[in-house]
Amino acid sequence: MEAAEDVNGYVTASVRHFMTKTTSEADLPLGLSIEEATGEIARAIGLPEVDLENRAQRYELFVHRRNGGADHLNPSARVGDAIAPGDLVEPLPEVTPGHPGA
Amino acid sequence: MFDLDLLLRDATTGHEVRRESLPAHVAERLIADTHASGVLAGVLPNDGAPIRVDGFSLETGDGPARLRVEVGMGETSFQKLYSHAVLRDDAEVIIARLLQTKAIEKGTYTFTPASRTATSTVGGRIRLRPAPRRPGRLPGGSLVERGVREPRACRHPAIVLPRRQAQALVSQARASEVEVGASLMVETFLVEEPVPCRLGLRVLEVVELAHGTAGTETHLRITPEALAAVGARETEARRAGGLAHSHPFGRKLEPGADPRFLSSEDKAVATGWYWQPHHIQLIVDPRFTDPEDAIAAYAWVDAALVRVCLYLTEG
Repeated sequence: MEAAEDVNGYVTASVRHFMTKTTSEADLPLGLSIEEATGEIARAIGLPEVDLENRAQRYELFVHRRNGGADHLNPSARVGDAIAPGDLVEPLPEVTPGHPGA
Repeated sequence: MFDLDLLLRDATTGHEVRRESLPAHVAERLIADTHASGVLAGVLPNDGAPIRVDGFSLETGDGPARLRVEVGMGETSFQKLYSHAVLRDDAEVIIARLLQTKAIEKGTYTFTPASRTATSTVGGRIRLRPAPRRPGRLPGGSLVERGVREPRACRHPAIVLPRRQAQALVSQARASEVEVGASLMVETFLVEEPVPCRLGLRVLEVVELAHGTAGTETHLRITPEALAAVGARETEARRAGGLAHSHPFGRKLEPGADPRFLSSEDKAVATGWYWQPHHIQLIVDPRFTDPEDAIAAYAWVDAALVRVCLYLTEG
């Protein structure tokens, strides 16, 4: 489906779960920060929201451009400035295996 | 439909201690396992078509609660019944979090799934149009042709780890005093030999995690950039199949204790992200040089994490 920028303040992009590779279409508000959008995308596609210390799970948002490029997005940037119609975005977590009791 | 809580009770008194929402990926794990079981049993077609969730229900009555999951493809469907024990690792992660935040005291708890009582008040601002679940097709493949001399009658996925890749994991772990990690690139296949579990996976490559990934003696921090680099190497036939990481603290444990276990943190990683039926976790004890002694493997068996055996192959 052709992506489009909505006159009401959304950009339509694809969002992908980095493990299942399930890719859905989403309208992202242009005014959200990338940090806000990342948290909402992660929640919407069923990624863990908190870590083992009950802090918000850290994700970084990566974008794959239609021209084949790929970038890590600055959390303080705005969706409208950083994501173009048809881009594919993918939240990737900071993963912390370990054993505090050892 | 999939919203569930986990009810924690004091094991001694039976009193309810806490009710916590089960994260969304728990239901997805059961759905993925039911689909894989249906395909491996030959009931569901192995054609990569989208799947439906025809049923997901909590059954209560006499005895512990159970979860019934039904997955459909085309004209056929397959259902599976899970005991509450399938949530053991999820419960351990939730209890570890509650203990860390001092929301509960140390103790012994029992757990059971329950219908969700509270609705989320968090309103999302993005508009998501979910795509159908499409787990993909499993190509056929022979264990013998992949170097396995005698396939064993195991109930878990057959994991083929070429000795060269196993040795790379051991060498990486032994070269460091701190925890190190690697992503496992695997091929998955429908085992042609008549073994009890026909899901096979072979490790094709061990990708050492870099891009700022750093460890201590008891922790490993894998950066999003490291996972992005792994994702860039994936293809249809070559998938991220799990993680390997070292536990270099064996000498600090009680004599005879095995450090090749999954900690609560490790289980949080496995249940949170690496929950598909073909995902595995490898733990490496760097005190040993032989992969047979150094590596322990964990896989999903009926949607629960289980320590399993490996096929170490030559060539």
